[in-house]
Amino acid sequence: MNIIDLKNFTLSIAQQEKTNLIVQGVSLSIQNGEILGVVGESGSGKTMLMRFLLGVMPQNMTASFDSFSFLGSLISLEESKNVRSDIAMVLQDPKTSLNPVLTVEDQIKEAFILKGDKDNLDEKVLKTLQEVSIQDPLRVAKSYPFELSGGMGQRVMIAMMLALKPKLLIADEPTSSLDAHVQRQILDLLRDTAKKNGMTLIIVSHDLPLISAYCHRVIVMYKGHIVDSCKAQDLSKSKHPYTKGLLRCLPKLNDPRKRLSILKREEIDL
Amino acid sequence: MIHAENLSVIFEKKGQKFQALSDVSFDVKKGESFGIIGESGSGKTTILNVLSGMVSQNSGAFKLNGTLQYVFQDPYSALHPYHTIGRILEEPLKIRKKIVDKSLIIQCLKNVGLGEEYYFRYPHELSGGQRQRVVIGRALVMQADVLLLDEPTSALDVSVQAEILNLLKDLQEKYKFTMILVTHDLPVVAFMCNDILVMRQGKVIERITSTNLRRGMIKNSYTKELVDLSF
Amino acid sequence: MIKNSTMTEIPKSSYDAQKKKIYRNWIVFSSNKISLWSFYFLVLLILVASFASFIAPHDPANVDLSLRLQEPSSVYLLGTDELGRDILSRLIFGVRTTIYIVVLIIFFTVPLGVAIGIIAGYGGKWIDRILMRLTDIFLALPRLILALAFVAAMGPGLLSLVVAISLTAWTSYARIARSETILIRKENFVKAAQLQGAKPFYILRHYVLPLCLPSVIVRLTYDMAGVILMAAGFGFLGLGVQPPVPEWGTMVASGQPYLLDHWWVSTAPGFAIFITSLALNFVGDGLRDVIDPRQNY
Repeated sequence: MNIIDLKNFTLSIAQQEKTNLIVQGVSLSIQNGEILGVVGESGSGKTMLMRFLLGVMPQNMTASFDSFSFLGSLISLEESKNVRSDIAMVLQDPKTSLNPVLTVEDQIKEAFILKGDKDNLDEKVLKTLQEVSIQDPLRVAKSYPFELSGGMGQRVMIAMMLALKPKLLIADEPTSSLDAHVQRQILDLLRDTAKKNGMTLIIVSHDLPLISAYCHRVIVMYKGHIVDSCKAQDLSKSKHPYTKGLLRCLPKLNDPRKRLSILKREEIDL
Repeated sequence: MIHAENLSVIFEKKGQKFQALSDVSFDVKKGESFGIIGESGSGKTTILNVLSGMVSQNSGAFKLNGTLQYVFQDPYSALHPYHTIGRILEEPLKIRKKIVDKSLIIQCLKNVGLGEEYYFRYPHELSGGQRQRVVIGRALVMQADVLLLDEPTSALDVSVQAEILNLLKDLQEKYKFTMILVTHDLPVVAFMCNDILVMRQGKVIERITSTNLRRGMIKNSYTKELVDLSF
Repeated sequence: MIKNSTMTEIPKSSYDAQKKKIYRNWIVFSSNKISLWSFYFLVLLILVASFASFIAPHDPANVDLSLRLQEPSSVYLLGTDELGRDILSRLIFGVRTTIYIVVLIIFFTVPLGVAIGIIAGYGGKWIDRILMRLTDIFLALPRLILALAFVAAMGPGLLSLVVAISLTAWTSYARIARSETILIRKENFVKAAQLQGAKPFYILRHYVLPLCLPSVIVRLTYDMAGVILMAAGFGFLGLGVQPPVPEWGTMVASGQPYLLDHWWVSTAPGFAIFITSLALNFVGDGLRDVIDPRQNY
């Protein structure tokens, strides 16, 4: 079964007599329980596509689509503007996404209460924190966001999202501000908790090797289009000029070169 | 060019002491690309701050001949928002009360891959990669002997990163400046630098050449770990 | 990625570039209709002040007791006051007094406040401590009592009014300039200039000052409204501008005994004060949107 079926989705923004297309005619199907990677450079429209799925598009943008179904039920254009409570999102920087004046405990409790869950909250908070492999849940529960390291903040963020019991978790550049060690841990955690809770996971990143290592399937976005879509392990063998170009311009440890190859944008047709 | 001996820096915040650098020593030859790699809190940026005089060391000493310029991680705050690109590039000359030759500035714009048409643009009209080119151009105008690069491409897209890294290599060949590149990205540092300092918690873990790094001739286990972790 | 049609053209001179920037800011400012109309109103006020002698239907100082306290009519559009002077003409000439006071106070307060603020903010450490404690001392002075003291010493009048307000008003600019400077000082482009060998004075002049001016100007527009109200207040208490010079606050005060029977004497100047300070506040709002720092960095 597909958790999301979106056909011919277009997103535009009107700016001084001109209309700029941010996403252009994108169709996307996501299977239940899948880990989907979304790759693209800045301005590719990947973040806006995710915000549309979640239902938190900026006011000044106009969306249109042929059909959109989520969890098997069709969603009208009007309904698509409402926040879908079965989807949760983890953002890049936990420092700015956590409320600075509430303790971790209070914030996670808030998430439970939002779901109408009001009993034994203390216990549930500790359990959720343990679930995201926090060694010392009692101490972390009582801390404020500024007292946490980047990796710990991201764990708390994930714990909070788990409290919402979403069917789909979107992680937008979840590890790009973290060190390599912590990056691996967070990605492992995301993958494992998704599997355990039967969640579908979307990882958005500009990092192709990372996506290819952690996802089942990858879509590549460029200038508002999905230009390439393949199995994650086949990403390095992709025939599409844009994907190939992106992979080639990465410096590689085992490949000493004088110069890096440059992405030739004029060769890419959309 | 640069000779640093036993640099130690201690930060004090609310009575708590934090050793940002302990006994760091290194030499950098003229025209060399020197890489410093480490995770956050390893003290890699502190080294640049000490060299540029933004932070003073608690003990140890360093010798540095020539002028410095910084290339920052965030290209958005590196340029004066009210100055045109031309004015930004002229600034080093104006500060030293030298005659400003416009053709020289335009030549510099071309050298960093921007055309003459950028002369009267403002920074907010430029993309991150273009701004980073302006920052590099500014260092060329002031004829900096040493470029301190603090994660110069980590805020940029990979395709832009490739362009900027190539540009830096080309310019270095032409102008023979010295580069100190600080990054957490192992493939980037291996591509750019021959000589690499691995840092952890303020200490030098290992000094290694990029060739040895590629061949896996690594002495320290932490360095090995970093190599394994890079995708 | 915001791109508009003006950005695609290549500017050919710094004049071009400047023009484009001003045009862009004007687009933002004029998109706020209330601010735009308030701005037009203030421009109109300045024009009225410049051509007061042509616009005013009567001589504002012409006393004619036979015409005292006339109701608004076709001859005296806003009526006459207790000495038979035309209120409309006095309002029109009163704009001059108001502008005069505001400009004098800006002249005394802004340069001083900003200079102290940026030096304190950039210098840091003991320079900051000394200058900011000095600012606190002036901030603690009670305005009204200070004004009374000045009036007692120098006699009531425009100058004592301006000095009394200025003595405490500069502190707010010092505080704004200082807090802005502390943020600007940490910016990378300032660091780059320091590495290019720029001296502190050069950085203050070319980097810190231009970047903190926008917030100072926004604050200034809000403050102008305050100054107008304050000057009117002092005028009302009889501490400010002395008759026969037309001043809005004094005019409100002079209508006080007749408020119930002859409402127009106080209402017209009171309304003028209200509208002008409101317009200044709206213009301030519009300017604040234009200089939103998120746009610049």
